[in-house]
Amino acid sequence: MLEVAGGSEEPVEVVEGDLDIEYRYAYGEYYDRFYREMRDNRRIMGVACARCRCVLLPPRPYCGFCYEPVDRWVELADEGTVQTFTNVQLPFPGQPTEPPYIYAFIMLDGAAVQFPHLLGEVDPARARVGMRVKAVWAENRKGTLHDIKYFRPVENEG
Amino acid sequence: MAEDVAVVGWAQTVHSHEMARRTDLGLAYSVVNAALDSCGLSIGDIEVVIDAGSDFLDGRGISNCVAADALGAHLKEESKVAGDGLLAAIYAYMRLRTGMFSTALVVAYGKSSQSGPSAQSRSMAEPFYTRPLGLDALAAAALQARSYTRHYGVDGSAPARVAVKNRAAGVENPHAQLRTAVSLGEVLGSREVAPPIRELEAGPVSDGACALVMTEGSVARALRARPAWLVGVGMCTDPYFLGSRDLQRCTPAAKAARSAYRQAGVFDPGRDLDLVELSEPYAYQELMLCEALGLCDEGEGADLLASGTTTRDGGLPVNVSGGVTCANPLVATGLVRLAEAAAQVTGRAGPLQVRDAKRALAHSSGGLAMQTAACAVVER
Repeated sequence: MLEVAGGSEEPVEVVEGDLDIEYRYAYGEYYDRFYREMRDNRRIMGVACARCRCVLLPPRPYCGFCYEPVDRWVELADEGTVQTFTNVQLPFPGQPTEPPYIYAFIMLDGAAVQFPHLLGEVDPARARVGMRVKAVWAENRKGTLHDIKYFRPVENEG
Repeated sequence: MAEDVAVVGWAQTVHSHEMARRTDLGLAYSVVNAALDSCGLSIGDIEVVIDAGSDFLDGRGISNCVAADALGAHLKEESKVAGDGLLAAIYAYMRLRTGMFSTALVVAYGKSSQSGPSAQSRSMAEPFYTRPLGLDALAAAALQARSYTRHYGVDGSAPARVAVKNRAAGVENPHAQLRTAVSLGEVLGSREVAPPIRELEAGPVSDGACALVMTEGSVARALRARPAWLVGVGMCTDPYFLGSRDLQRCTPAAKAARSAYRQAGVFDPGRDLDLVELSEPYAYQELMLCEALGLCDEGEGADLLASGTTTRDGGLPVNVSGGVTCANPLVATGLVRLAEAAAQVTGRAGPLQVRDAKRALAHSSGGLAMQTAACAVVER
């Protein structure tokens, strides 16, 4: 520490600060329809690329693989197969719920890319890749990803 | 090593204040496609993608991670410049010059409407010495404006006359956000939002995007449309702290231009250039920049303006697009200047076309009170 003549020994070490910026992110037309379908119809809608035929999530006006414009909408099952998962143990800001919880990628029937969501009603020790799961829809839906509470194992799994 | 590099395709959005129905990446996708269409290339022809974006505008960290798909960078080499898009174009130019790549895509986009006009500039205030007193882009510019105008005894109405000239030019620009002319009385009568800066001397806040396709010479020559050859580039940055800077002149712009002129063989910019596109978020900056770029002597920016030289029909038009006075899509602004310059020298500027334009300079500024500058000279 550099000396300050006649000063106290108390250092000036850190200044508290924050950057408070409020955003209003534009959903755009594709997210708008995607989330309205979830809110109003309990439907998960993807878009299909006319060139590579991939059914994409989230819906967007272009195919990330071949860069074609994409405008054909396809309804996907709210049921699919777990591709990978982890049991989140540690806390961090912005979590959807208190840990522990299971975060998974699910290949919805009919989709070409994996859908991210939580697994519920499942003993973490019994979760596995390849498990069949189905969406549990929220009663009070607002047009966000939380319109699905989580995916639970289908009857004969568990 | 590639000997020469050209700008072969370009596109920009119609800039507007709030595009609630469009995502930032949707804007980027639209201009990339239009730029590719303009030169007859497809995304498969592109070898490297350089983009410019702002994490603070996008509201995402390292925001190009999310953007890669929309930019056509899927499984390609891609990197980002956190600054104006003209820097990204210069970065792409250097990559092409190495000879490692023959085609590049440059994309810049920003949606200021998502976070409000001053969020970006407030975030630039460092926490120890600048943030305690608060400083945004407008206040920083006002400090520079007073320093400059007082030092040279610039008439208080000169910046207002810049705004009048640029707003009149912007009427013809199909991409501009503000397309109505204003009178000198209206500008002088508008509120002093940070004296000496008046409200109508400040550019608008815009959402927008711009994309350029650049290639090395042999690819450019094989294309159907005439390319704009990128013959000189330069960049320069001033110290961060405004108190450490000479606020009476824009030294970074002067040095960036000198570098570009040397490469391009521009000896007398007033005679060797046919038009200039400047980034002037505040009108007084056009006066300072004309001096820095050597279009007139120091302190004579207002005289140059009064002479009519910089109007559309003058000897050296400055901002025939209306410049940033008429549209300011942050991050894309400087790349738009290069797109305008390229369009001019290839005779593709439509209603903005300056007759017989052969060589043009595009300038971008960044940071508070034009801390950084980049310049590029294009010719037919």
